[in-house]
Amino acid sequence: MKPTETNGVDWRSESTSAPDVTTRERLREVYDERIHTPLLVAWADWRTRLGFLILGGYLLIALVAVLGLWREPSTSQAPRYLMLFENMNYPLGTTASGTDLAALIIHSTPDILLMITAGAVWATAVAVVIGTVAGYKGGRVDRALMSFSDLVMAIPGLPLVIILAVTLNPQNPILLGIVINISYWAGLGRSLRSQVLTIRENDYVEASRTMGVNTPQIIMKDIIPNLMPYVTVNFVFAARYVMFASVGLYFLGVLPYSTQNWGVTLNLAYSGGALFSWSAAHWLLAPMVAIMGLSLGLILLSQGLDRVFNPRVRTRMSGTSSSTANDNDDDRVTEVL
Amino acid sequence: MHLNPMATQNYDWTAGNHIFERFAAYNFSTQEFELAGLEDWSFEDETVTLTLRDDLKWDTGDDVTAGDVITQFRLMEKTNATLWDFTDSVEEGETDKTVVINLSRPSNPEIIKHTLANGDLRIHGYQPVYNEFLDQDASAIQQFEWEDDIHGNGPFTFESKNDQAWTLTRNEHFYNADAIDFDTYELLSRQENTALQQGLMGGELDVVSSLFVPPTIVESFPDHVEEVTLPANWGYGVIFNHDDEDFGNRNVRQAVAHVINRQQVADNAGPRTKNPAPKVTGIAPADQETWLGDDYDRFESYGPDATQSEAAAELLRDAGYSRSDGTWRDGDGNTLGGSYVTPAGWTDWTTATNTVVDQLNSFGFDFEINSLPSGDFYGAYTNSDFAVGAFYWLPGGARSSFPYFPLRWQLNIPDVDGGHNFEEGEYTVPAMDDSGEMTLNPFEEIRSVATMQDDAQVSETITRVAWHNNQNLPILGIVAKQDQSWLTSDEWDVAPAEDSARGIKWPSHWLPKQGQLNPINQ
Repeated sequence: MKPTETNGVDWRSESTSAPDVTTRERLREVYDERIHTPLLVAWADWRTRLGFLILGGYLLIALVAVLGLWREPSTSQAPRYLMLFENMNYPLGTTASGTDLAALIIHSTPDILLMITAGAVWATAVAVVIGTVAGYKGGRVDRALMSFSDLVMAIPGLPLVIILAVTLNPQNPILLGIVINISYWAGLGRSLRSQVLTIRENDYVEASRTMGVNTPQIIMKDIIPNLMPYVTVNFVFAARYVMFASVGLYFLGVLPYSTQNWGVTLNLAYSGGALFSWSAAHWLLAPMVAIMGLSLGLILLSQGLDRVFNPRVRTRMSGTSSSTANDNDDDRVTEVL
Repeated sequence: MHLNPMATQNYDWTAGNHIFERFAAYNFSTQEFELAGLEDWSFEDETVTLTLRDDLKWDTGDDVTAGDVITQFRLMEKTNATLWDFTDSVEEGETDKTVVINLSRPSNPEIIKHTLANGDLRIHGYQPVYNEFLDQDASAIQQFEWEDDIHGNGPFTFESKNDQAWTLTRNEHFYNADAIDFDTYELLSRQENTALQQGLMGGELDVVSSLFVPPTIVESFPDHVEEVTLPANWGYGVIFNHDDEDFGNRNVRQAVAHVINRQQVADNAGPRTKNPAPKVTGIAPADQETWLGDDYDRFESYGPDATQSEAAAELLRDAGYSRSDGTWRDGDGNTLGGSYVTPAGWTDWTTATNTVVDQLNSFGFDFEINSLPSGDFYGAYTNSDFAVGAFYWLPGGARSSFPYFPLRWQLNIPDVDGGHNFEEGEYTVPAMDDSGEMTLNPFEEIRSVATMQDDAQVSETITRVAWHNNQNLPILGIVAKQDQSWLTSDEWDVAPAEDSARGIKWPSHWLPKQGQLNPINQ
């Protein structure tokens, strides 16, 4: 089983009495195990491929904004109410105040990506730390950490975020991502803890413990790798949550308007009559498509990554040569599942 | 929400305007005053005599008497209402239906008429409720929330209220109650413009007193939704905190004025309903030429439809600022800008603010938009917790067309309790005829207009104060707007489009009590 293999690699890496394995070989094995095979498995699935492509597209858009390859959005920079593709200088059209919609979308992208990444990293990192420590240590530590996470879970998330947003008025996208996901980790941490409770009973964990390996090492090398499938999928969910919540909060006008954001664009489109008039519909559609596209990319990626971490598919793939993996088609992967 | 008009916080003016009758009204179509709760008003040298309608009654059936009005006026003295700028005392006249206002000096009747016919001023001083405040501090009346046992004298009377709606019923004691063919008036509460727009579109709402609707949405309204446009004498402007190191500096304020392209703001924020005045004078755009006459051309326009970068840059350099990396900085390297306060949810204002801030930032200011919910928005100004922001530069309503009101209002902005810190005193500005400088006390001069009777003298003083406001910019006017009021005719028999009765604000308040808005099938 894979966890045992993983542990075997790690265990050897801890040992100085393994003169038959060179550093090079060890690195090679880690590379195959951790990077090469998962990538092969991932790439074999069309959903991962498409997910990567979509996210890659958004990264490119962000790059366009960061490098300043597209004009900054500004009022009165173009004729008002241009429709989609009516004027190819402004392919997505313009708003009631003559702002280039393409510029609005493009220049919002870097902040959105930063924000969802920050929110997702925050939520999963806190959940992993709390969940694994509580699950592994047990006893008082477990009770204390779980009481704390129960407390956080009991606080209604949205009102808390609204209060924090109004109080802190966060304009930095990283801070904003964290504020939105401020309590997201609690539920995830609790689920991780229950997984850790089963993992910690495994022989190899027991063995590490008997050999006197310290707690952080055991958590890092024996436990967390086994949680990765769950963590990765939830990372993507947390990222989607940040995006939707932020758009909603901007739309409600809770978050500071000064930050350029698809939610702000949606709000202005809505109040500018885009909901009721075809001549302004593109103003509403452009940010909606941007939001839906990013969300779709994240969903596809999470489904593809699920495949990577599914032990049954993984075992079968890792046991074969890379050429076999390449030959593997979608149907066979589906069959396995 | 409550019904004490003197406690401006949380007073529900829409409900109040239905429940309390007004003294008189200004008709924007005929440009004349029409009496309502008053039967007559007469002006002599130092006295004004108001005669209440004989049949004006409270909804208890009791007469509205001079005592009620006197109580109200005396309380208004505590709250520094405009009426008391020129009033010495009030007393009962020959009958209990006449009130005599003794003026401090012979006064300008136009000011008194506009004061009494001002949009939201109503006859509300029900003695059993208000008498007890006569010997208390102003703060007592300003904090009193009238929510129980409410009695009015208007066409409708208070029935109940909750978070969603006020329910009013026809006041059978109202003098014109027979002309009103329906029993219940429900005032639904809607937080946002879009909710009201949807309400009109979907037929849920029958009338809306005042609501901005962008052109794209007007086009999609059903045919039976009728728009009534009325001059608002109100509009988007830029307010400066005169205590601020940068924006307390006249050069910086003038530079801001030069940078802003007012026509562009109007075109972005409301092409059908907003227009900039060609000159910045502090007087409502429609009335500027009439009042300023030959002097009109002397007034600085600050470029109504252009960003005058050169002029602005020169002013900033003169004030010791310099431009580096595209941004203006003071001697210490601090950028010129900060947060620009704007109200959240006022949709047309949001667009105007975006446009203004874009223009200022492209020139080299460094502003970030800080949009605040209504309470915080007023709070920021009242507490002087701001440097620059969006605020209305005219007090609004009919009286704004008499320059005394807007010019005086700009100096002390009572709506934010003078939070822009424009100190009373003398100011020196360039002379009107380019002959050096002139020094004047704009506060004293504008106040003196209230007691002037000589038209030429009034005109001259108004021109001087307008010149001061044009040069010193206590607040910067950007655009003025037309109010949009909404009626529907699918289920309601409303006064036809050409009827001048639609010229009184607001048609949804005025028409029902005149019997000019009744259900069709009755």
